[in-house]
Amino acid sequence: MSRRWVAGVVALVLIAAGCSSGGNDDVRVAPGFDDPGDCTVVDLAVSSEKVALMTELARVFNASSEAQTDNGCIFARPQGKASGAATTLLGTDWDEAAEGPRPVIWSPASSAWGAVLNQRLADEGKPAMAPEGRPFMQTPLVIAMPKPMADALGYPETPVGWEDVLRLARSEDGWAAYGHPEWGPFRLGKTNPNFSTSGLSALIAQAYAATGKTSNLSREDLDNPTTEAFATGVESAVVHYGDITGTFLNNWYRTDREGTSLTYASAVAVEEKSVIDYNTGNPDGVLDAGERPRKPRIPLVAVYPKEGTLYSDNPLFVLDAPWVSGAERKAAARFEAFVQRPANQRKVLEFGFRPGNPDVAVASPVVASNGVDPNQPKTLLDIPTPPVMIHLLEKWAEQRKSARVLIVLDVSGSMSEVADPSTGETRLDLAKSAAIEALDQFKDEDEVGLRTFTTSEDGTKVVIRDVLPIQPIGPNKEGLRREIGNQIPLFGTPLYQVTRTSFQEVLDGYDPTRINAVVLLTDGQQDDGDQSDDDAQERAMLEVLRSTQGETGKPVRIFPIAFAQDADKGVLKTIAEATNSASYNATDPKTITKVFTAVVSNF
Amino acid sequence: MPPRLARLLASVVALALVGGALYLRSRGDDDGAGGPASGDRRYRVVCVEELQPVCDALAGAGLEVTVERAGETAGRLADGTADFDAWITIDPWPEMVQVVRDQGQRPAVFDPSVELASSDLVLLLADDQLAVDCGWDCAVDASGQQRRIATPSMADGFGPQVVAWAFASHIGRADYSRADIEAPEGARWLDRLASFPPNAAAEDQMATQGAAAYIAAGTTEQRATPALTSVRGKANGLHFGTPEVPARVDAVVAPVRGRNDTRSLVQRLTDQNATKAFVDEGWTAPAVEGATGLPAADLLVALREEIDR
Repeated sequence: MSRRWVAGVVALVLIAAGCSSGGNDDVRVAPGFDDPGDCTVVDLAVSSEKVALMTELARVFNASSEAQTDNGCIFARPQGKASGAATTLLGTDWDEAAEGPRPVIWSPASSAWGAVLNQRLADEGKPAMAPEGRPFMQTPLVIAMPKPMADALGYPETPVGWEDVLRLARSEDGWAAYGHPEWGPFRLGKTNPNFSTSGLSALIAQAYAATGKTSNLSREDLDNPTTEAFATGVESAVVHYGDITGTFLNNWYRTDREGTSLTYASAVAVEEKSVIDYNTGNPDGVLDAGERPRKPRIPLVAVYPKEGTLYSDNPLFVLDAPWVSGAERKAAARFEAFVQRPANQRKVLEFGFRPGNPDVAVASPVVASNGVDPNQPKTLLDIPTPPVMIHLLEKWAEQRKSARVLIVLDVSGSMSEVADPSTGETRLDLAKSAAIEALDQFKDEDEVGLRTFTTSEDGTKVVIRDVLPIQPIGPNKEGLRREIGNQIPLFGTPLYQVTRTSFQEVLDGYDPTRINAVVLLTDGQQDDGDQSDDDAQERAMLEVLRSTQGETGKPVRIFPIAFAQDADKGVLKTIAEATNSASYNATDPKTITKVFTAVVSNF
Repeated sequence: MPPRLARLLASVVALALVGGALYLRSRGDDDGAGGPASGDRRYRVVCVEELQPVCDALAGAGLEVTVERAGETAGRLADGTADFDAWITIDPWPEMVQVVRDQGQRPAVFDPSVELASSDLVLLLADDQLAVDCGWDCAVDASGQQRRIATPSMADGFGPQVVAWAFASHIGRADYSRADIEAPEGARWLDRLASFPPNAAAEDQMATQGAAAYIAAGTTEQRATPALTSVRGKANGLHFGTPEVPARVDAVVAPVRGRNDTRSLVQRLTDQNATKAFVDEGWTAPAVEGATGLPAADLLVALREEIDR
């Protein structure tokens, strides 16, 4: 095995370590699951999309006679754990104090994660941990498109695939070629394949499409100039990346209400179940307390790529791990048999998935009226071997759309407050170290600049300091690290003004070949010493931010990161929504690095 | 005889009887005389992955089961020694191990295998364009980039058997030789069959995903039937083809040579409980008698080498 391959695996796993969006994907043990009594405990680590379902099934199981054995009882205890993060933890050192109990059963979104884990363990001379897993539920990767756009392409009568995505991405006419100049250029949404199963599946599918193959994708295929050009072409249409598809779906849903969804994104690579969720009025698949589903005005259509696609098969791996006892293994088998029962498998349908048990028919909501086709997909693709997958990710790191990013750092006085009492680190300390660590995720060609903001000591003047101009990060990474490290807390927080001017500066230098963005790190609220004009400043700022979105605009995204509980998260969310991006919450010192990783995954 | 002496003699005889019984028990049936069932004897068996449900059902008091892929066990035994008492596997894996050991002039590691259960090899079809009279040649002819065929890996319990059977079907006889495998036409056919990534669990995928997953799969009847009769298997039109040459596989236990007391293990694996465990998993138990329709073990080794090459 080559050193490069080993390095690649390590890189993948290190990158995947941040596979959660500010901790949102990592759901700890649910209420009511904290006291298993004297039962044999079957801890489960499951990917976020099935936490609610698995929790429900575990509750029923624990209370049933199925959980009673001759020697006592079984207690199934699920916790949410993003697939990539769990892959890393299982391959390294699962710290139970920080990450919750080590699992007996691991259920990532796709079997591909099991292959990556086993490969990593093999590289270290350790035995495989993920055996063959039976699919618990399935959902294919699709290209979601607003219905008018799918109609314009003639789908489903005319098959559509990645080849068409490429053609649209390269077209200077964009949607005008289909009689819809008002929709602007073709805009593609894809998640970062180092973080997201959908992103990884989309990357595999587009590589196969470039080669015309459905199996045996090889390193040579990926190094073929035609394949490289195909990949670069598709990536050129990406609006931004990110760690979860929910960002795209939420933005689509919000802009749908504003009547601008067709100019936000033309297509997004998501799982079929997300199309069902969206069309039933629940775009992120989670109904918060009091939230009522409301169907969108323009529904999505699931396009099953003509070149073939992959299923997320949600296997249940009963781990071959040293901490799994024989009794736990038997108990796990019992729980697995329980969830495979037809009555329980029918529940996966309620969540928009297809049952893993062949004895349960695919039924509503996997129906045409929800924009999906239960008779598709007709062509499936094989998961490449782990070495090819790693090479694919290495190629993607080179081929992905480059970024042009201004990091705007709040150095107001309140950033000196202690954020982590256990270490005494201040908010600014944590922000600096997380930002410095995240710099490694940028590729050398990305252009990154650093700006700080505060007020003068008497609060009368806004002090914005351009520490480093926007420039290629490759040769300037060390300087950037040093400058971030040098920052100290000062005075006030002129949030609106710095947001507006930073946005304007990135807009002035807009580069259509790049993702143009501002990363705004702040702990507080607007505080420039004069509250009388705050409302007017906010309105003026939002007007500027919104003015450039749309079909003829130059989209510049602002990704705000809130550092303190008292940060004005409402305003930060509004700023993000005004630029069709996402805001992030880094108020828990333990998750700051993860949050930064998630933010930079957008580029 | 004085009463005290009689009691003493009776005690001595009783002690001798108890001691003798314990001695016999400790020896088990090693003398071949069909001694008492050795309930306290713990057996360490390696079980091939494909038989895991059966082995799990039989595991427990006195039977310690380690589940392992057939190719891994075979690889370890090619030039090593067995650290277990018996291998519960698919025929003719134990003979295949010996073929490889013979090449290195190593002694036999197993006593002759004992058949436990049988299952026919079947060609499962998911494409309605492939009729019930479609055999291996028909399936391979219909295959292509987006029309894949599933066979198990050559390291899986059924892998060499399925491929050997497919090739027998292709040339119309089971008594072929290495020359047939290496002949240009034969090698081309095998290359085409082996061009699809192996998958030992294609049945459920074919049931849930239809021909998009695979148009055909070589497997066993006990694995294919649940998929074929499932709701989605029926909806996706799964059906059996008609291979040119019939064949079956046998589940066997191969006792490790020189181990004590393996006869009672074999008895245990052929008793009513074991038979039920096999039948519950769709096997025919006791095993069917007569030839399996598969070529000899050395040909299966040759096929492994050819496919791996």
